[in-house]
Parts: sequence; C-alpha cells; structure tokens
Amino acid sequence: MIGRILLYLGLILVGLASIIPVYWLLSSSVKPTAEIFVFPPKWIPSSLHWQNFVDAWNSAPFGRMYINSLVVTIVGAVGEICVAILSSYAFVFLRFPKKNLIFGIFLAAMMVPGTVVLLPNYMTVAQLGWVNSYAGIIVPGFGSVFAMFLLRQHMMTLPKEINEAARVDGAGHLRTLWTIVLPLSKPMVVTVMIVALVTKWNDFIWPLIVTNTDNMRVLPVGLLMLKSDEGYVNWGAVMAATCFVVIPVLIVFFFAQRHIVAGLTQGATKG
Amino acid sequence: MRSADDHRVPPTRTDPKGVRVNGIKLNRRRLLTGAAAATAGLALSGCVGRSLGDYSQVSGQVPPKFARRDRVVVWSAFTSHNAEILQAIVDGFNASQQDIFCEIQLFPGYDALDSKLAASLTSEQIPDIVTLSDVSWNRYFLAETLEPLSGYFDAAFTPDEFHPRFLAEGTIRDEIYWLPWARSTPLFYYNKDIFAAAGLPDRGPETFTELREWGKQLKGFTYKGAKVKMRGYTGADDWYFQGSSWAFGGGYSDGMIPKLDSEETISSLEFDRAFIHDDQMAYLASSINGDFAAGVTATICNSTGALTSLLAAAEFDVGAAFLPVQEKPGVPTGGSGLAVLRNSTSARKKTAWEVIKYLADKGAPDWSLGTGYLPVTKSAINSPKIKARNAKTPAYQVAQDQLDRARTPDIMRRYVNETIAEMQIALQKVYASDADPGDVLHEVVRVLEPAIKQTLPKYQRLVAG
Repeated sequence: MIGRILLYLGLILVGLASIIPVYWLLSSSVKPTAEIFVFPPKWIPSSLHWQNFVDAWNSAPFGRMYINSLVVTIVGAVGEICVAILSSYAFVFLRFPKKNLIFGIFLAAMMVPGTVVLLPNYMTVAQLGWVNSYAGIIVPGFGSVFAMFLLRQHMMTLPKEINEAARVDGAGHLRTLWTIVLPLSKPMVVTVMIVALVTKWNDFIWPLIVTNTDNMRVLPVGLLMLKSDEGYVNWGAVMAATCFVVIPVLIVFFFAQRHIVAGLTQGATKG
Repeated sequence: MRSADDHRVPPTRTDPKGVRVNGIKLNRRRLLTGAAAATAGLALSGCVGRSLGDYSQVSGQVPPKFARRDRVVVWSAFTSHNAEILQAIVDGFNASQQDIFCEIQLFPGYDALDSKLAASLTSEQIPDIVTLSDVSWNRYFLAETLEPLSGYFDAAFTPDEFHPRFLAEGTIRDEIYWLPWARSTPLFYYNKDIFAAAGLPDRGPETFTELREWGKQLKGFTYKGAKVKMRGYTGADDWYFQGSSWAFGGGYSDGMIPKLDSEETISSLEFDRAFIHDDQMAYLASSINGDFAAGVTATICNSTGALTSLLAAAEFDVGAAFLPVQEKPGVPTGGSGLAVLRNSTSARKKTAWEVIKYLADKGAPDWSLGTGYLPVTKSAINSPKIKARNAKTPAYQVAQDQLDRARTPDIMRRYVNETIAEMQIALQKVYASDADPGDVLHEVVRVLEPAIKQTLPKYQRLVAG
C-alpha cells in the first residue's frame, strides 16, 4: 500500500515537472510583461493580455514561417521514414556482402555530433545550388541512422518465416514490405514518424545556416528574431510566439500517444 | 523549389572543368576536397581568403522592380525593433538612387551570423557587407577575410566622417578594416522611484563600495509588493565584468599575456560574489532588462543600445549614470560595426562602398535616434534631432559623455575565441554557485593557455608584428 502511494506520489511529481513549464508558458503568453517578472511568481494572470499574440505575429513573418515549417516537417519526416523503412528492410531481409560491417559504420556515424557534419553538409548543399531553398533544408535530413536503427531492431523481432512464406507465394521485396512487414511494424513506424516530425519541427541550427531570407525561414528561427542581443525583450510576445511553435507538437502528441507507447514498449515483454 | 524573386550573381570564374549547377561549378574533386577541408575546420583558419575576387554572392530575394540594379547583400545581426530601423534606412537608400539595390538578410544575433558566415566562407558564397561584433571582427581579420577600407575613402568622404576613437578600434597598422555602426558602452541604469522611496540619492554610485553600501540600505525594501534586490547580474555576457575588472585595476590581458588571475581581477569578481552571496542584495538574473523593467531589481548595468527600449518598457522614471569607479574607470566599448569581405569582386566592393557612404551620412542619425546606439559619425553627432533628443532625455547625453572614460576590450578577449565562453562559465559558477573567484579564474587561465598559444603566431604576424 505504501509502495503504491509512493509510486503515485512520484508520478504526480514527474507530471508536475512536465506540466508546470508548459502551464507557465501558456499563462505568460497572456500576461502583461510586468507580471511575468514579479516575485513571488503570479501563477494566474490578473487579466488576459491577448495583445502579446498580435505583437508576436506581427514581429516576424510567422504566417510564411508556419508554411515553411509545415513543408519542411512533413516532407522531411515522410522522406526520412521512407528511406529508413527501405534501408532497415534491406539490413534485415536482404543478404549482401559485409552487411554487418556497413551497419556498424552507420551506427558509428550516429556517434558523430551533428555540428561536425554541419560544414560538409552545407558545402554540398551550396555546390548543388540548394542554399535558401526547401531542398537544401529538407534533403540532408532524409538519411537518419537513428530512424533506420529503430526500425531495423524492430524488424529483427519479426519471424523470418513470414518473409519466406511471402516469397513462396511469389511476392517480391516491395510487396512483402508493403503487405506484411509494414502492417506488423505500424506502432514502431508511427513512433519513429512522430520522433522525426518533432525533431524537424524544432530544428534550428540547420535551417538557420542553410537559409538567407525570411521567406525561407522556419518557426524556431523566427522565434529568435523576437529576442535582442542588446535591448529590452518583450517576453510576453516571446511566450506567445513560443505557443505558435509548441501547440502543434502538443496536439500531435495528444492524438498519437497511444501509438507511441505501443511502439516504445513493443518487445519489452516476451510472450 | 526557389521563389521567382530569387536572384543570384554568377561567379566570375570560368573553369572549363566540371559542370555548373545554378551558376556554381561542381565537380567531384571540388566536392570531396571541400568537404574534407570543412571537416578539418578551415572556415576561419586562414586557408580561407587566399584568392581574391572569386567568391559568388549569396542568393536571396530581389523584388522585380529592382531586378536590373546591381545588388548589395548586407548580413545583419539585428532583430526586433532594431531590424525595423535598419530596414527603413536601407529602404531610403534604395529609393534615393536608381543603380543599386541593397538587400538586408537578417540573422538572430551575432552568434547566429558568425555560424552562417563561417559556413559561407567555406562554400565560397558570401555577402558584401557584414555586421560583426566588437569581439568577432578581429577573428575574421586574423583569418584574412576582411577588406582593407582605407583606399576607398576620397576627398568627399574621408575617415574624419567617423568618430575618431571608434574608428581607431577598427584600425590595424594604419589600415581600416571595421567601420563603427552600432556602438555602445555599458551604462548604470537605476529605478528612480525605488531610489527616492528608499532615501537614496538621485544619481549613480561613485564607486563600487558605495553601490554595496546602498545595497545594504535597500535590504528588506519592497516595491509593488515584492522584495527588491540592488543589482541583477547577467551570466550571458562577460562584457560588463570586463569593465568592472578594469575598475578594480585588473583586466583580461596585457597584450596576449593573461591577467585574469591577477589579484585585482580576482578582487573584482570577489566583489560580485560578496554582493550576491554575503549581502544577498544582488543575484543572477535570467533577463536583466525584464527584471529591471518589472521593478524586481533597482539597478542594472546594461548597454547604451538598450536605452531606447528600456525607457519605453519601464513604467517608472529610469535614471542613467556613469559606471561606478573603484581604482579607475572601467568602461568597455561594445556593439558592432560594418566590414566588407575581401573575397568579393572589386565591382561588388565598390558598390558596397556606396551603401556604406549612405549609411554613414544619411543613415547614422536615424539609426542612433531609433535604437539608442551611440552616434558614431559627424552627421549623427551634429544632428539637430539627436541634440534635441539628448536635451529632452539627458540619459542619452550621459551615454555620450561617458565615452571619454571608455576603453577597447582587452586583446585576449578580442582575439582568443574561447575567452568569452570560458568567462561566461566562470561568472555563472560564481554568481549561481558561490564558487571561489580565485579558483575559478585560475582555472580559466589554465584552460585558455592552448588557445592563446594557437592564436599567438598569427596575432604576432598580422597585428603586433
């Protein structure tokens, strides 16, 4: 009984640690700026100051940035998933020389920090004439070792006999992938898809480096345009603009949480 | 994939080998060697900038009505209100003549612009004019990527147009590389309402000792229902500490010899530590401007560039005063200036110079007026509008008068890339965790030794020589 109480107490604390920052963000987005800084903190706004949202929206071309973020996120995540599905299938179900060595090299690439490959990637994109274009922002993200690794690990748990049965029935690799492997991998694909969506939606440094003009910028870059190296920052507007960025992600998580849990817990128990 | 307004200038090279994609030569060797070079981190190592006049102009957006004009690209680190002011000035330039279109490309702060510029230099696609901060332009100078500008002046537009002490900061061996633009010093800002209610005089403290005494007087004082601290410190910028280290007789370096672990520098950080942790009348703020405007702290030390926006944001009378003195004045100059990249074509450099002339003459008064940055050209200093503003709001005049006490940041802070980051960590350790200032600063010097050794040969060859 005491153990159960402690468990629930722990869960409540973890829940609060997650919820309080989000609540603070949402409440601060409708506070007058002076109220954001009072100490002790004012948890409930004295009045709803919706002007913050107007100020935020007008301080950068957020409409255009929303479109850019949606294009980059959706096209980028779909592309990443497609590449990850095809490559993970190949590593699990195809036989080719030095398969494990190649997979090991891919895994080693995961150990390299993103900042190390930033310049080589930028140079490649520049040479292709893709700077300040959707292609420049999106294409380098198609090859995600992390997504491929997760899907490969999952596909390895699928019985090999399924693949062999499909072969006997005359199915080629694409048919096998589409009709058998993918349906069985749905929870993991959804999980990887959501991780990809959130990562691309929040990506800051690459879209900053590879774009020059406001009409190609994404939301996280726009968010920083509200801040100032020297000078006063309208934190109410910053909080409101952060809501523009955060709320779509929260909605995605809310509707997809069942799939995420299923995907992450799959293989945790043996039947 | 690209907007119809997209405008690119083809590179000047015509190498028969390799194909061209969107005006950029592409062959396998170039791709592979380029990638290897980038991985080796050659963006600012001095291997960049050897061949002149052959880097292409970055892509961007040109409205159709300006499509036939020569294009100048300015990379700006200004955001928010300051970005709007600069855009208005450049719009004025574009309307004032028929030959040149100036396009501003914005980056959210100096660090973001630095990252982008390093990548662009590596890929040989660059802007024409860049706003570089007071502590980053020197690194680009060491990498030999900045155009010497002295030869561009003529009888109609001489170096005398600029404030002499600011111009001197961008001059190395009698050659100008960096022109003043958004220049500032820190000011001592105080909440006049709090000072009056607490019985403190309506002025800034003469010395740091007096500041601390006033802090003790303020202990327990409440403003708008909350207890007030005397000073909010920032851990995000060591610029202010540079000044207070001078005030206590210390500093960052003497030339390239570190002074961070000198007794005087340690005593200046010990002052901050005691003020925060012993007196508990100062604290590490996440936003000094926000806290000051909200009345959480009675005083802050912040840039003159924040003056206009602070006056607008605060719901009380804002006082502005000289920084406190201890052994001597400690006022560092800061902000940013304009540089032209030497790898551009000579035609583009000449066109860029026309933009700079306009900014210095017509743009500077509006810039200083709109942002609160110090006037840096004769046209701004002598502007009737600026004189009227200073008379109406004396805080602006205080900022200008304090310039007589100002100094350029120490050599090590400007040329040794890692200094600022290490000092920010050190300050945060002391401000947040009550770490021992002596231990922390000795550690900084130890960590910086390899970086100093690495920078020294180039510094001696190009600067000290």
